[in-house]
Amino acid sequence: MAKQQSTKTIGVPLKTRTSGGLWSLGTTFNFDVATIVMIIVSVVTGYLVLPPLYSVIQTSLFTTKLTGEIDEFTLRYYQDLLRELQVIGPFLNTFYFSLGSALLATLLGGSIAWIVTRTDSPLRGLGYFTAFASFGTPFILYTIGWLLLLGRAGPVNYWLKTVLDQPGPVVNIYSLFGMIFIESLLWSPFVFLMLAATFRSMDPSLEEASSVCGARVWQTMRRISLRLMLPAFFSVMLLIFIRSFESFEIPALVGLPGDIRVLTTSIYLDAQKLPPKYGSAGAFSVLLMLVVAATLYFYFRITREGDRFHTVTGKGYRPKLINLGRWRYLTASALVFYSVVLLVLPFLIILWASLLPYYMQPSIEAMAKFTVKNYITALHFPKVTDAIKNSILLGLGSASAVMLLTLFASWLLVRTKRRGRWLLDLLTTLPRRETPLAVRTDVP
Amino acid sequence: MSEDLEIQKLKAQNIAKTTASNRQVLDLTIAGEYPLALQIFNHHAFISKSAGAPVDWQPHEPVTATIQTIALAKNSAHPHAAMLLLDFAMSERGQKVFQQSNYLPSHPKVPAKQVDLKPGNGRFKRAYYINPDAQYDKGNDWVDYFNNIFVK
Repeated sequence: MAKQQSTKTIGVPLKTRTSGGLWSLGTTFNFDVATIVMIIVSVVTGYLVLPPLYSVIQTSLFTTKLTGEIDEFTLRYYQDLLRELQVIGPFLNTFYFSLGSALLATLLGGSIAWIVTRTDSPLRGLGYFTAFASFGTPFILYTIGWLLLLGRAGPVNYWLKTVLDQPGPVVNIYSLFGMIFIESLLWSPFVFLMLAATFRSMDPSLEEASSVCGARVWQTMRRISLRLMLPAFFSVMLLIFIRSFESFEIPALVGLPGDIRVLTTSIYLDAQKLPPKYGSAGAFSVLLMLVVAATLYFYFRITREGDRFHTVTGKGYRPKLINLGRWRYLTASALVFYSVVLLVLPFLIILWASLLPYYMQPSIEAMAKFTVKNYITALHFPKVTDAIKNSILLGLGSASAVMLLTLFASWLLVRTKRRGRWLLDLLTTLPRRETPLAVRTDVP
Repeated sequence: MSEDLEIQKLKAQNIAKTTASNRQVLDLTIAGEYPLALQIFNHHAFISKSAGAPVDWQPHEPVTATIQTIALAKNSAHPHAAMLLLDFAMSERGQKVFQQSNYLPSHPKVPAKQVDLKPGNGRFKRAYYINPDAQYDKGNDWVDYFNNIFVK
């Protein structure tokens, strides 16, 4: 378990700068394996990435006919966009939503990662289990689960109302805070896994030096540990910021009923209109891509700078675990609480809903109506086995294809010095820039 | 003027807007999230009521209706089979399939299973359709009108 970081320094300078490779033909052609692989990977990635990007930009610059054909060139949609942005609205909402989610998710996932990797708290395995298990639930199902739990008439509000003796619902989930809360819960396992790896690979000698000099645990953490982790924290936060910026499920399910519009939901609403406003949806998408691109650029700069902070360690032992003493009960309950909130509650409420003929708030009386009718319907749903088969094929297929493509791409990027590999770098990061929704709207 | 006042009164009630399906809006109402849903399908309410849900529908004149369309894809792999399916879906026999699942048949000779779900059967006199032309010409103006008044 503890040994995996020990090979950090070994085998780094494996640069395949083999001038004149296997197929070198004199001096003019310098085709070796790396070049051929690079050409293939670039063409495949370009084929996957460029057409939708082109289409989005085209849609934003041309009017479309009812049939979806491109009509004439216009800058009108960008002018409309600028005018709309002057009344601020969606752009600021997107910014607050993304920033809030990035901060909260990092705080949440980071704390759990710290407890699990750096302390002697009991139940640390639960942290890993929760993180991995939570990836098994689709985002949209989670969100619905949370809306049922935290809705106006949901169990949480009912309970709070009774305890606090309030006339109306106490928590309004259909708000910016509600959006941030659910989004950061969903991203916290991801943060956990990213930061847990960083925490585990930290060089313990600096912390030991600090404690030898007489610093307390808290001082060491503040002055040494947290500073060492700063680049990791920052890059995780930027990544979540980007993902929240382009996310759609939560803004649509939580934000729209509460009148909180963000860029993605604005794109969606424009494309939903009749006749659809593909042009303004396109302009919104381009704006979204530009912001995400700028953030990504920033992200790359930070992670590159991060190398400066990275402490190379060749010693294969684990950083010392902090002895929590009596605090260990608190951390253990934090882990249990996290697991219950992230996994158990949404699962239970969806299970509850699935057992009822129509949705009722949880109560003893409602249990009298329990039925397996929904399960029978689901099992008898025509082609349900086909759907399951397709999902598995889709999952395995795309996972393998992506793995293969990025394996070659990253090998070329990291291990070779091919000229023109910046192009591949750009191509492979483009899909992150053109956000899923932007790609989805390019189907007039 | 009075119409404006009515709309202002409506606006003051802080109505929740959602792009979710009308079925979802109804489900949220059944779950007690909202006391009242303004725009749902009456047959959905009837289906839920038959299953025991504490919900009912009330026509609010003028009653609006949506046009459901069915079409043949341009590059359909089996255009003839598709045409047969279209014919069946619109025939009396096909419409009875809709009727049996408590959906509203559009064939004039096929009544709804629960007859008063369709216009002219006691609950409401007629339904107003928004035809595609009007929707195309005015649709976005209506949406903008709605957004200007009800969306912050």
